[in-house]
Order: sequence, then structure tokens, then C-alpha cells
Amino acid sequence: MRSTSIAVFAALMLCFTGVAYSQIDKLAEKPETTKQKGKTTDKDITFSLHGFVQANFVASRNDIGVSGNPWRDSRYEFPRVGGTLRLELEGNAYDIAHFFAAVEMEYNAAGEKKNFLKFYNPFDFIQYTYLTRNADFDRSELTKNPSINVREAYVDLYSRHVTFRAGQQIIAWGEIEGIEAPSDIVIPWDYTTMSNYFEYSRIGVTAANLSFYFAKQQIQFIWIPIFQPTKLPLESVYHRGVTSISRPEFEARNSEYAARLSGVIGDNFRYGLGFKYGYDQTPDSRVLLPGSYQTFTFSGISLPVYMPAIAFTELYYNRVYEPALDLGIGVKDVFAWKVSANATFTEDFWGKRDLIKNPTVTYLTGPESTNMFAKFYVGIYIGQQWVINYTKPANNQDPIQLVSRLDTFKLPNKDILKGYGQLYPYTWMLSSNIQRSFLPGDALDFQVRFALYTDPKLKKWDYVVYPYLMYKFTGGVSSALGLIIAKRRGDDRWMIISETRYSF
Amino acid sequence: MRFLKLSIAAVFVCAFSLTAFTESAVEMGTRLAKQNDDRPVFEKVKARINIIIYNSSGEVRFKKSLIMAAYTEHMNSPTQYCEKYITYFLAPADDQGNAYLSYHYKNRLDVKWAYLKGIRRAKKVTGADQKLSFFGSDFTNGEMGKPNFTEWKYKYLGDDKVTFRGSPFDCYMIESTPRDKTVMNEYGCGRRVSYVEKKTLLTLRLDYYDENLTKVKEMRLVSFTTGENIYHQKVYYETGLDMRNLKTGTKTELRFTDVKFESEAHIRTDIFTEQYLTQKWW
Repeated sequence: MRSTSIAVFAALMLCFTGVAYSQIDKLAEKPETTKQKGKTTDKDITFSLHGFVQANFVASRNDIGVSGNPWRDSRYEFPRVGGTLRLELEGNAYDIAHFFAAVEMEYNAAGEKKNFLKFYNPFDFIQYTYLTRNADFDRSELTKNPSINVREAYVDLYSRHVTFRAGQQIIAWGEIEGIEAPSDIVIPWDYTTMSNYFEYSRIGVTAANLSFYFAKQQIQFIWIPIFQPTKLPLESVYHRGVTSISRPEFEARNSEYAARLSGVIGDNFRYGLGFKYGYDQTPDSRVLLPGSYQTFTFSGISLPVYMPAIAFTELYYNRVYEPALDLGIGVKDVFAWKVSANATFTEDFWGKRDLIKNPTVTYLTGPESTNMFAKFYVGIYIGQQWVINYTKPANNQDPIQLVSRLDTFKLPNKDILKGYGQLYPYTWMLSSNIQRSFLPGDALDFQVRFALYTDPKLKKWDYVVYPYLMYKFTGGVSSALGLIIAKRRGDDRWMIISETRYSF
Repeated sequence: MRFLKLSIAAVFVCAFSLTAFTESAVEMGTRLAKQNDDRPVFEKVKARINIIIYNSSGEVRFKKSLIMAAYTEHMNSPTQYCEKYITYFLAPADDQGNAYLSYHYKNRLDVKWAYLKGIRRAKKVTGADQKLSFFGSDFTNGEMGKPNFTEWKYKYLGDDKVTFRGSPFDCYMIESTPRDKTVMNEYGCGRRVSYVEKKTLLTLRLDYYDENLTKVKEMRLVSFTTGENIYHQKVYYETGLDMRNLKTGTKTELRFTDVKFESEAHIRTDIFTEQYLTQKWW
């Protein structure tokens, strides 16, 4: 009887335990199987349309061209007031093809000046001595038509170890982001951008881009049939006496080519070796000074002095060879030491042709916190740009130099070299990108980017300092407010940029 | 004779009971935690993940949606075991196109890469990021994956019942404390108390305490599913988790939909590379 009781008790215990087990099992969700659904959930061919609508407001203080300019009586302007609509169409066909296009339509009530003067006085010694007119910045001549800009439009074809992308695309090289990295040489920079978003510092190029992947390494070949130069602030450029800018003709012989080997060795060493045969992203100058000889008498000696009546300054683009190097060395999984460098070999390697830039070597190196999603991110880099076969600027105030170069008006003078960024044998650079997120959901993002440039004696400083705040509201609405304080290559500019965006 | 048999049985029961009783709370906690850590897993999983973040007033603040593939390499090797994840953001619109790749090891630090479309670069992410928010949610990166078993010390605290979908279930209460200060700082966590369901070893509830041992978050299992892995083992797979932040009052819901396992997932094993951060794999 006792054994029967024990057996019943044991059976009941097992039974109850079994009930408990089966209960939680019954609460499991049934996995959706392909057979049950009868079809796959992921479609083989997909299309999506996204984009944003954005309200833009930019206020700036710009000292360029105020002095002596009859049309500009104020340093303060609203250069960008209006709205932007961006549409992004994306499609995938199986896992072998992909299409992406981003088109932007912008209306800027402030307009854009396009009818610049066709001639000007390029050299300050002429400007102040012989000519008095400044560039015309008549605001009534502004173009206010909405603009349409295809930022990107490309097709990708994939296979397991090869990808091919053709079309208008943004190609970023290097290990450093958020600043102007020296090794990021394939596509040009936009120095006119009035946006808080860093991607607007880049300009897409029409290119064919072929990449091979193997054993954690990548080999990339790029063909750029249409050269796209860096976008310069035209008001500033023309005010400095430029009369025209000419690009290379759209011909096959003017294509650009680039190749890069990059990858990972071990766990902590990343590298990139790139090379580009293309055009210098910033132009060289060609100067024409029509005039006549006049005779001047100095201490009883008569000398024919060539007097230019007018100056034509054309900017044009020369071929360069650009090797680029990237290194990223992980240190104790806390930060990485980065190196970004390039050499630009111009047509004037020996520095003997006055109006063509000399070759340069540029590098930035420094530590970077390796956690992109950290609440606090910092990258700080120091570097130099060396001018190879440095040419001293001519002294425009020295009568002997003036007389000795009357026949050809040998250059460069100080302003040209300053424009080229080659006034000194080398320049120090300090760049940084600091980021910090706040609030639940990382709704508030604060970022500071800055770049400092100085001469070898640390006497003259150029700078760009850019603090920026972005707040994400709910429902795809975000607002960004940035302040740019800049003094670089003679441009002295403050700018407040406000962009409020609804993404869909 | 019957008495003899009963006596022998009683001796055996007592002996086993004594063995059980001699296991200390630490040993039992460690054993249970190890069992939990060694639970069978799927080799391949594909799912859509929806992250819904609520503010302290209970209003939806952000909704994020991503597609995820997971592949567990060397499932039965404690030294070579590696969980590989690749994710692609589908929504919101400003995140769409961002992608994330991670390798989770049992005996070494995780390795991660991120592709952010704004900067057009795949970037290796390293460092102590376990305590940082997982895409702005109330989950941290460390809470999204399995914690490294060896980095924690365990203690069995007793049994308790936890309600799951309206029914109470018997659970082991297991306390985990960081093995050293480095681990505590890395995870931003001084103590965890897991409520592990006795049969399935599913964690039905998990309480998180900060470095000062103040309870700061509470996670609840909302849903799970089951299936058979390639070794024909039954796998319990969490498909819904709620994390409530007691400090800020915010809450995050994590929901897996369209969950597919093993051959149903149709995942190639070579997609877990940087190359596929910018390329369609799903």
C-alpha cells in the first residue's frame, strides 16, 4: 500500500512537472516557414523611395569685397534662404544588382551670382597702383531659379568577390572621416557648401568603379571620364581677379584613373595604398597682361617699362600624379593611430614654372577613439604640408625685381602663392573631429570640427572652427544648427547654418 | 525483502540529496549559468528586428527597423565558437542604408564594423562599448548579445515565480556579478539577477544594477519561438524583449518578425564580411 502511494505521488509529481513544461512550450510562437507562407517574405526585386524636405537658413558675415565695392555696403548676408527637396530612389534585383539615385531640388531666395566679370586686375600691386575698380557684385543680377542637382545616380552589379559600380557616385578613400583627409583624393571637395551635414562637403563624380575582394583585401580600379574639380567660392575667386575658369575638354584623353589596394593584416593593422592619375583638384593660373611700353627716366637714365592696361587671369587644371597612403593601427582596442598622406606631383616638379603649383607632400596623423557609437568620440590629427622645390614669392615692392621681370612679368607673387597654399616651405596643420551624444535615444548630438593651419614660425594662423548641434524630434524631424568661423587663404567668414529636416 | 529494497532506495535518495545539498550557492549558480550559456543555438537565423523606443510619458519616440542575419560558426567548439551578425537598417529614413557587422566570441573581445552612409565608409569599431546604448535604445550593446561567461561570477539565490503571458513559471534566481572592476566598468553593471525558467532555461526576467548596486533596468521576455537546429537539438529563441529603464522612465521594445532558421533562412555564410555592409545580402 505504501509503495502504491509512493508510486502515485511520484507519478503525480512527474505529471505536474510535465504540465508546467508543456505550458511554456505552448506559449512559443510558431516559426513562419516558407512552406507555411507559400512564398518568401523578402522580395527578389524591390524599390523604395525615401528623401527629405528641408528648410534652410544661412546668415553670414563675409569681409571679402566690402572695401571699395559700390554694391556691397554690408558684411552681413543671407546667402541661403529657402528649401530643399531630396528624393532617393533605390532598387535591388535579387542580390546581384542595385540602383540608387539621389536628386535634390533647391530653391534659394537669396539667389546665386553667375555673371562674373570677364577681366580683372589680378595682382594687388597693380590693383592699388593702376586700377581702382573692384569686381561687380550687383545683387540685382542674381539668378534665383530653383536648381536641380543629381548628387548620386549609379548602378551596382555584384558577384561574390567582385563589385562594379557605374554612374555618379561618391567615393571615399581612407581611414579618417569627418575632416579633409589628405588621402581622400578621388573626388573633389565642395568649399561652397552651406550645410551642416558633412556629406555635402563632397561632390560626386561620374565614374566606373570595379572592386575585387579576397582574403580581407580589396583592389579597386576607378575610371573617371569626366573631370569634376573642387567647387571654389566663386565670388571670392572672381574678386581676386580671376576672369575665367576652364576645365579640360570632355575627351577620352582627359579621363582620370585611380587604383587602390587596401585591407586588413591581422586584427589591428589596416592599410590603404592608392594612386591617382588625374587633374589637380584646385586650379593653376594663366595670366595675360596686354599693355604697352612706356619710357621712364630714373636718375637721367631712360628705361622702357612695360605697362599692363588690363589683366586676364584664367584658372585651368593641370595633370597630377597622386600616390596616397592610409594606415590604421589599433591600440589595445581603445583607440587607433591613423595616418593619412598623399603626395601631389605636379607638372612643375622642379619648381621652375611660376604659375604652376609645386609638388607637395601632405600628411595627417593622430589618435582616434575607435568606438563610433560611443557617447564621446574624438579624433585629433597633426600634420604638415611640404612644398617640394619651394619657390619664394617675388617681392612686388622691390623696384629691381619689378624691372628685372618686366618682359614676362615673372611670377609668382605673394597672392598667387597664398591662393595655392604654397606661401611657405611647409605648413603645420591640426585637425579634429569631436562628437558627443546626449539625452535618451541619443536625441541630441554635439559636434565640433576644426582645422588650424600655420606657417613654420607659427606666426600667421588660418582656421576653420565649426561647432554644430543636431536635435532629433520624433517622427523623422530633426533640426541642425551650426556655426562656422573661418579664416583661410584670405577668406574671413562667419556663418550660421540652420537646417530643419523631415525625412520620409 | 521489500523492506530491504525500500531501505536501499532510501539510502540512494539520501545520498543524492546530500550531494545536492553539498553544492554551494556559488557552485549551483555557476552550473546553472553555464547550462544557460551552453543552451543549443541555431546555426543560421534571419529576422527583421523592430526597435520601438518610448519616452518617459509612454509615447513612441523612435521606431527603427532592421534586417538581421546571424551565423554561428564552430557551434560546438568552445575555443573557435563565433556568432556572426550582419544587419541592415530599413527605417527610419535617415538611418536607412546604414549597416552593422559583428563577431561575438566566447573567449575574446567582440569585433565590429559599421557602415554609415553619411560618411561612405565601413569602419572597424573596437573598444569598451558594452555599456553604450544599442542604437539609442534602452538596451546596451552588452545586453544585446550573450555576455562572456567567464567575465562574471554566479550565485544561486533561490527559486521564484515569474509571470510570462499570464502564467506563473518556476525560475532559478541567479545573481551575476562582474569578475573584476574592469568588467564592471566595461558593462556599466555591478550586478544582474536573472530569472531562468527551470525547464527551458529561458531568461524570463533580468534585473540590472549599476556600479553602485542600484537597480536601474528590468528586462522581460515577451515572446519566444522554438525550432530544431542542424544537430536536431531543440532551440528556444527569444523573439520579443522589453527593457524598462527605471532611472529615466523610458522603455524599449525589441520585436523579431519573419524569423527564419537554418535552411529556411537562406543565408550564405560568406556574407559576414565588410564587403556586404554595402551590398544586398538578404
